[in-house]
Amino acid sequence: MNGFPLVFRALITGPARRHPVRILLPILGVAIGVAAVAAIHHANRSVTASFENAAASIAGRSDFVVTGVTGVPVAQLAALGFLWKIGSFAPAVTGPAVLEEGPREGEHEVAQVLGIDWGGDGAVREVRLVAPAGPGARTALARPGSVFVSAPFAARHDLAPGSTLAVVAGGQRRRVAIGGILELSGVARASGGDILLTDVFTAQELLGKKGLVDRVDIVLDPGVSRKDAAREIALHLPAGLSLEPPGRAAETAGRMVRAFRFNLNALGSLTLLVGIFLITNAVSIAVLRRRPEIATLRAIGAPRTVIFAAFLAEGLAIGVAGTLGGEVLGFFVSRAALSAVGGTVSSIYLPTARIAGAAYGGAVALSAAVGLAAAVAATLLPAIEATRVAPSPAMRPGSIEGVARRRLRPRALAAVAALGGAWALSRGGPVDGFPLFGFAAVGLVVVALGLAAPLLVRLGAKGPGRLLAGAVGVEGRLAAGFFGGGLARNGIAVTALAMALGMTLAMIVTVASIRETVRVWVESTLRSDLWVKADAGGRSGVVGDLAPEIVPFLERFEGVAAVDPFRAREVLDAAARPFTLGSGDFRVVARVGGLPLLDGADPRPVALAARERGEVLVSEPFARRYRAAAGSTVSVPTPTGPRPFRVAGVYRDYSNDRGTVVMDRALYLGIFGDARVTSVAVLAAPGVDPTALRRRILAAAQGRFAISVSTNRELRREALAIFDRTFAVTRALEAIAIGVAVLGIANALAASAVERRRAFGLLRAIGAAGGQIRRATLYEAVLTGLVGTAAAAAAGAAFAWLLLGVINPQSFGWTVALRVPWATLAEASGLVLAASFLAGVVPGRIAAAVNPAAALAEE
Amino acid sequence: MSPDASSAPAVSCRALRKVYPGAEPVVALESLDLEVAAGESLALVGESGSGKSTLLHLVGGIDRPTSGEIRVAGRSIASLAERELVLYRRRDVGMVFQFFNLLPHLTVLENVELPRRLDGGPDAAERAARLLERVGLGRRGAAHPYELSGGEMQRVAIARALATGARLLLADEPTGNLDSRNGEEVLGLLDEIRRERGVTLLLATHSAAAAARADRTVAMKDGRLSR
Repeated sequence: MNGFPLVFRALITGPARRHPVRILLPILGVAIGVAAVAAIHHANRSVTASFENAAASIAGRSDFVVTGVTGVPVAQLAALGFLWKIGSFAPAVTGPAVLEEGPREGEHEVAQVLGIDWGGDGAVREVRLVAPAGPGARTALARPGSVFVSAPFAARHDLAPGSTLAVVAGGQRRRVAIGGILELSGVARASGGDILLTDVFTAQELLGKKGLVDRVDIVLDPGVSRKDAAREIALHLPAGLSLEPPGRAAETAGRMVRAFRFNLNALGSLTLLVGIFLITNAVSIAVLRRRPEIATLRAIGAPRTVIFAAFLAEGLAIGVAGTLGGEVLGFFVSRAALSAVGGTVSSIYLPTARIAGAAYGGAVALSAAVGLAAAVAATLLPAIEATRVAPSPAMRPGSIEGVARRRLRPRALAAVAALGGAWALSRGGPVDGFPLFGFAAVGLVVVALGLAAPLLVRLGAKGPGRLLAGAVGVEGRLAAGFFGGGLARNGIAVTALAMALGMTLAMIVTVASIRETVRVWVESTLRSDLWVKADAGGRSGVVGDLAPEIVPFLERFEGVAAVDPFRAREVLDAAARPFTLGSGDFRVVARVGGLPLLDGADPRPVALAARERGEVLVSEPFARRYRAAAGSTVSVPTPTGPRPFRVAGVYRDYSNDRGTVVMDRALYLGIFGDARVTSVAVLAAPGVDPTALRRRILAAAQGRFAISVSTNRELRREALAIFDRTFAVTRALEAIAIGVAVLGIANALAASAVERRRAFGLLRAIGAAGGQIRRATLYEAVLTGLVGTAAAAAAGAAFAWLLLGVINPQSFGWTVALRVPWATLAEASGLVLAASFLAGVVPGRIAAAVNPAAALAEE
Repeated sequence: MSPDASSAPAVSCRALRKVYPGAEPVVALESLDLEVAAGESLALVGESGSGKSTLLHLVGGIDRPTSGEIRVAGRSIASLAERELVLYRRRDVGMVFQFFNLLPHLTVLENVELPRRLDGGPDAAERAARLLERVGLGRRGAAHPYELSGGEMQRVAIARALATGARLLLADEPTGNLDSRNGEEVLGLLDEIRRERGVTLLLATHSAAAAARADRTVAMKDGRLSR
């Protein structure tokens, strides 16, 4: 391209060398965005990889896995004898165990119990013993109650063969003997090495799974066709059992956290979006400032392609520099992100999940590609704008903003069209469970904002500008003039601020609404006085289950009026999507309520009728996903195959987004034969103090059950604490986005101050004091902040409507009641306004320092 | 070198019209007919807003007429495609502006080189150096425009206008921003170069002194040639 180096220097590097700050700000914006994308991608990828590694460690060399809704009855293992013709198979029992002791005070780890058949497991899983050595090592496993642990686990807990370990498993306290130490390879890598490997019988005993195994792994002989084998197995498989690929467990786990990860990615992309705006801001301002030079170049014969290439190259250079900085920053930020995301996944979704950092290369590659692509995309419009600079009019000073003024009406119409498009897209349903149309609608609102911004600047100069002039006099008038005189430039700054602040305001409203909805739901749902679960060592949520004997123990306890034993299991629908199958005593619900129905009806008669008719209640997320409603039929997998149930009602449930089907406990026991309990709600008799009752229950349970008992108040607090932890990451991202946007204002104001040297020189020449010009620039900054904040309020309302009405329901299946925390919104807006004011300080000084003689000599 | 009245005119305008759109359209040129002989220097005089600059911009190919015809060296330029117009501006015409319009972040030498570089000419630097020498600024090649006086900047602009060997020079108020002494120097330089190279010069000015140097003067008023 002839002449490109000179043109590039004339338009880009020359000006950048004189005013490097204008380039540094967009580079910083891109760096922050790239770091956020890299960190979140790495965290999400680590979650997926950890699930896959864990599943692979457990599955070993298996080609298929046989599972059942409530596990595989040992009695049915004999029916699998035909498998010896085509390969080998080995049963396994799995479940969580909470360690009673830990290396750090107050922290109780969760390990995974895995019971295998030592005789036949060798074909499936790899186990390498470190200690004890010698031929008798494996016989140590035959000793009842002994377990093998990985070397790092043993080191951390100061264990050796012969020592013992206190655990809570199956709702009881146990002491297991350490039979040996494993090398951290093969099956020992499951749960990040936090595994208690034992024989099937010990695991059944520990976990209360007598007569059941959780899985049967099948390894085919060499040369056996997988397809043929699958067909033959399916023919012989007893009813109620299913054949799965070994990776299914990882897939299921991944699906459980899919919505969470998707929304995290979307939020991470927000910071990059603001970074993109900063690039567009910087390059657009560069185009505006360089219009006379562009016009001159065009007049002396520079083709449009060279002009386009010069600005595109600038955007690319900003993208490269920002991406490089972002990769370095992201490397450090990713650790914090991994900890936050991993913690949330473990505490809310999967207690035994160990999220280890995956290889960082993927995050680097993705964020680099995204950063560069974003930089190029951000530069396209301003670069195209640059090619449209006509030589003739633009060479006249003062003609820059005339173009912007002429385009106001078409832009306003286009903005309205974009809003209409957003509304239309919001009508679209989820795509494979993802709110893609919802996010596209958010994108169109951003486009509408960008199109309308110059008009907003004009209105701001006329409306608030006049008020400002009335309030503070001539400085206000000047400020209104400066502000309104920079439609294109200030329009970009207003857009960036409105977008970042608008999304933040929307998130504030969304989080407050969800939190209040959850709080009200918790209040109305948690009717019990006490809540009993297996002792999880102080961890929130449920880890492990309780023996059936806990129910009569509590029912017969003095001071207890009623108990509602709740059982929850994760099951898969016909398309292998996970949902929760639960059971509870509908008689208790019929007595006290505590199951808020979507249609507002009284849940008590509904629960009673459901119990009598063998019907089920489904949660709102389930109803949305499967289009269920009162009166419709849902299919539930049972030990004898899928079975239809009529839906008695749909209830609000914010405890999980996978969806829940609940049936009466008697019906559940009859179908599934699973008497174990996940948790028990206890109603105290009238006049009985719940706190005292708790003390007595715990004392009586000593030595029999390992339980923790929470009061109603503690439970509510815990539920909200889990919620707050889930949304902690979003707050960090919001703060970043706002910071980057305010940098954009500073950038625009600084550019404006330099650009208007002649105007400031003229003002000084006719008697304006430096202080008056400084104040005028500060007021312009305030006007920019005010108009940006007003635009943010409108955009935020649109974003909040989309988040609450479209994206959240389609992601999580929840209906959320609107709550507007006015005080918090005012605080956030006030902070931004204050920051906008501060952004005007340095430009104000630049403006006040203009030498009138020098500036006017340029006239 | 005297204008050659016997050959085809260097510039020929027929019924030229230029209207700027807007809430109230502005008629900058109205039914203008004009011919300029090859090698002639023609001064366009008139008040501000008379259409002098507009005419130069149309002849220079940096704006398009609303209607009418413009021929330069026999070639109609009003109907040139964008790509051909770019080449026309680069190779066939050189423009000198009232506000100099030099690129501030390039050196003086680079400013003069630029049109030839855009054309892919390998001798851009040598030609630029020779032109700077011709305009008396051979030693200022490494300076930046903001280090020069107004008169010096205009001389650089003249050198740039000649970089690709254009046969038509258009000067729009070249002395408008200069004091009388510098203005005289610039006008003298334009005259010398015109005679040396046989270029055709169209000069828009409201200076009587500038007009007096031209072979012919044409007055304009309200977008028309006035008698």
